[in-house]
Amino acid sequence: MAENLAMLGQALLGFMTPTALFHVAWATLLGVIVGALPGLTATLGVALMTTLTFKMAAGDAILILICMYVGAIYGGSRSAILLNIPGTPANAATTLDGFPLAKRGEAGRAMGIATTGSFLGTLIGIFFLATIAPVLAEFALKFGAFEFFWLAVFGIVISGHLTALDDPLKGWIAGFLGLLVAMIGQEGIHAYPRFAYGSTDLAGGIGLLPALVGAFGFSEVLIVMQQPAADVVRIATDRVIPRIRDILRYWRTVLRSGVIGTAMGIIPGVGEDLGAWASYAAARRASRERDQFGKGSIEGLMAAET
Amino acid sequence: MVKADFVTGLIFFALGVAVVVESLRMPRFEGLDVNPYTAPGLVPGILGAIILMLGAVLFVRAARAGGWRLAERTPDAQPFLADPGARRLLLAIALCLLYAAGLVGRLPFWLATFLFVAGFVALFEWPLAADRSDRLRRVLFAVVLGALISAATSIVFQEIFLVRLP
Repeated sequence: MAENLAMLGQALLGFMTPTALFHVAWATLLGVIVGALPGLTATLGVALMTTLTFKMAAGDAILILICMYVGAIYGGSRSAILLNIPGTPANAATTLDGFPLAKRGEAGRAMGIATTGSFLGTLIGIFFLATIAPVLAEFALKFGAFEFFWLAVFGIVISGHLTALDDPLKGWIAGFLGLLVAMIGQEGIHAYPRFAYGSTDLAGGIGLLPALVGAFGFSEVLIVMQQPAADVVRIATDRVIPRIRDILRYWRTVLRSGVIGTAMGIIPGVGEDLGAWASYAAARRASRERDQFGKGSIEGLMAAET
Repeated sequence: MVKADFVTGLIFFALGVAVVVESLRMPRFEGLDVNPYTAPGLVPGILGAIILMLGAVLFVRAARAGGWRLAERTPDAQPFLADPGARRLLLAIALCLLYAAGLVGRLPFWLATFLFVAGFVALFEWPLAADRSDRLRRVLFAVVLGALISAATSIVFQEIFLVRLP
């Protein structure tokens, strides 16, 4: 374990050249822009970057791709907090607490918390990656069909408990309705077109991105259009750099969300969005201020972003 | 809320029944000597049964709380349409449907997007204009914005990211 950390330190030192830092800067900036635009996800950003980095040296290319990915996952929190539209699927949980905070006039504070949470989560992930990744990878490869099934059931069940703690029925209906909509298209084993009724477009299934933009973006646009033309909220003074007190108070949440996020990332096939939702649900259950969740709770925002 | 739950529970119950019926109609591929658990109708059938049950629970819960009295205090359509917020909402939905279903396939993408954005902004800014010159200024702003957005998205996606647009 120690030699892994030593290798991590060596690699970090190797990256301290001006060209590498320049690559880090522009790739992260581009990643933040890509992440903030709803409809462009982190994976899409990385895919688009591979065409650009094809000719570069391997070390630089991987650096650019990773910076793009991290920037995109973080950048989604910007539009999630300010517009209530998640930039990437991983930031859907951020909208729950980030947007109420922004409406209360604390958007700067929310963005500061999101940035710090994202940074701390990345640090925890790097630490785990360096130390126990080979062991955990072997464990994750043993994940079979049974485990994936239980993971899917787990996702649906927490969707119920996240919407309303005491009456999860509607959340479960929504979760299973989502699974049903995912059934449209050709199924995996015999390629039989389910619920397609002859249309080739439907036989291809409903893509995740159009559904995401439709469910979050379109509904937000309609809600905003319904309201009379309001003045833009002008927040003159708001701290962006978070208070140390805020972060230290929730250190348990940070650690827990970092570990959950790393675990979700190691399991093959599970996306970053489930990590965000699982840490949000875990934080809500363990929190002492759980009725604040959904109305602008700092802890919830921290859990979702870390 | 209970009236909405009542009707929604009924709808989900009907949806569950429809899904179960549809999945029973899917072929089971018995002649091809396959594992019966891989039949395409299995998972939709299970999901349909679950939605059926959840819809029934919602329906029963709402019926017990008195949701079956649908007739009392039903609002008419007239006051709903008179609300300016509702009218804006319907206009936004109509414009988006027009763009997605009508404009995008038939016109070149940049033209369709330009018309949509310019029209959307102009239509929503029209009632806000104070007088004639203000209105003209707002329409001009809408046209410029439409041109910019249409050009920007077309160029960025087609030339830089090499993504095909409809």
